[in-house]
Amino acid sequence: MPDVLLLLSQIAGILVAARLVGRAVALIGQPRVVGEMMAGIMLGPSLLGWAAPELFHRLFPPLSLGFLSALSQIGLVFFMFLVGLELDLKLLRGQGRAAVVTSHASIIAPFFLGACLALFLYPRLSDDSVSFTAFALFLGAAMSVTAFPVLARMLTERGMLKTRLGTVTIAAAAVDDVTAWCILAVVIVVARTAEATVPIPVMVGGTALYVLLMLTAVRWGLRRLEHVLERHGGLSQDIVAIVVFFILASAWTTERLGVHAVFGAFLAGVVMPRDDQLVRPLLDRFHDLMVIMFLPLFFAFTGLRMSVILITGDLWIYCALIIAVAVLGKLGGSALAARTSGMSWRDSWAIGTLMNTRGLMELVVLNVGLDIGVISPALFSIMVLMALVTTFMTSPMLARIYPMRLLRVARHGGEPESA
Amino acid sequence: MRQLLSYLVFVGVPFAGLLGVLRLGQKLDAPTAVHGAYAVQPMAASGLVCYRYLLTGGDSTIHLTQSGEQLAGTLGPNGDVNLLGTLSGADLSLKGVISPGGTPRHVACPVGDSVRVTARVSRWGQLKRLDAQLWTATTAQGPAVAFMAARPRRYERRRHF
Repeated sequence: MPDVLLLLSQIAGILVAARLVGRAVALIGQPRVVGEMMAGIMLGPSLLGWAAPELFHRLFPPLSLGFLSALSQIGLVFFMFLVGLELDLKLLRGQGRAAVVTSHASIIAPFFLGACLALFLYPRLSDDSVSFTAFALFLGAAMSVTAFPVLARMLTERGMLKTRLGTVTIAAAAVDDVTAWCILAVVIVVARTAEATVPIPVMVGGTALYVLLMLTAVRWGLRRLEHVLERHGGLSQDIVAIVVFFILASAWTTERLGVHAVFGAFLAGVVMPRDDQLVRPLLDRFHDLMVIMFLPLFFAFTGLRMSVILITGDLWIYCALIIAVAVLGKLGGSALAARTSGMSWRDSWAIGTLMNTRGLMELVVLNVGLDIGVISPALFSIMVLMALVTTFMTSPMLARIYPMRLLRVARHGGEPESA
Repeated sequence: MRQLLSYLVFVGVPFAGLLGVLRLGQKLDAPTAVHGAYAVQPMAASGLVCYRYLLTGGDSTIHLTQSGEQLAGTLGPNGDVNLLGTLSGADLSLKGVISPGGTPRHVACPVGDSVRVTARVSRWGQLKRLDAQLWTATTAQGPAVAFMAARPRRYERRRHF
């Protein structure tokens, strides 16, 4: 039985810390999500556990963390559903040539550099229960992630969504998102071959069959929801209950198949009908609870698993190396590809900077990696720092590359001069 | 033509390189895996209440996480003492400090007392076994307490904590 008082104290402490740090970083022009990520880390052994060990032990005794973990996992499942729901598959179809090259390069360049880095890190930060292939593929996938939701919000806030830069970036990020999840599914299969609880043919065949079923029959069946919506004149509680059941069932299925629950939730979001009466109201209903409560819980859960104490000596050099490779691969790869596709240097750097935002999507990927044991706790901690740094650097870099006066020109259809 | 060329340079070449890296990496060796939760085996109780608690109280466990040759862990039924250490071949060496609030007050573990665990990992049928010794600052001059801990060789890898 959970200690309800303790659980309530934990949740309250996390929410307060997330709001306070979120507000503080907003004052320096950073997205709140950066502050919430930082708050999660601060509540873990890296700061609270180091500065006030007694309070840390009282607030987060190891045996109590299972309940917090369960809550954060449920939150994550719903968050991934929203990510899938916000993903517009039409973006993947109507891409210009610049978006095709940029998106593919923005995946493969960091992926390749990540795999190269794995040659150095595998003997130092892994162990013989993980195959090199799984380790390298995971590191590559983790390097190539883009935070689609954060990026979309940044573009909207700066009024850049309808500019050419915005459309190319958002299309490339959408491709990145889908590709990264597909790659991660493959990594899980590779990583679990040695000690899978589900036989590999069942895992691979079952997952493929499930994806196919979701993209065809279930998607077709869900279109009936549009008629139900019309009959009810909007989103009723019954429909929300059906959607919640659908999300949980899909997450349960992929978890049961040996792939992570987040895939099922993401897929459930992707196959939902894109009816205006459904998507917007669903996002509105879930959004506040997600942002105010469940995401901070997930960040805190991540912070509790992460420990800067594990990063000692040479590991700080590895950390700098990982951040450098992540930025070089993602920012450099995307910018050069956009430039050779005919975009100006300024636009190309802006695209690279935006694509380099990893945000909480990186944290989702890293938690999956730690769950399946393909990365070690020290590497997890280093990669969380990398996610934080790459997300933190986006806003100031973008403001420098695209100052407001140039942004106004771009918004009105003009091309700012090349930098 | 320019688009095709840039696609080949930015996508084709790194992809080919990736395949090469995956091939090259097969020759690499990583340190022996020792991570996991090892159940401390029942043993004759030591004189000190703190020792008795750490090694024989309830479901006493030595929980190890591993990053290459770097180890972190906890000892005790509630993960009471945090440990940091290294792995060298099959030998483990971990150190920690009894922190305020880390252990229950009634077991009287002296706060600030240092704890040291050394162990050798070996296979034992379907188990992975640690033959370990525990020292604390209180007994630094005296004999160490020997104990044994084991975990299944194949175990569910999910690392929630």
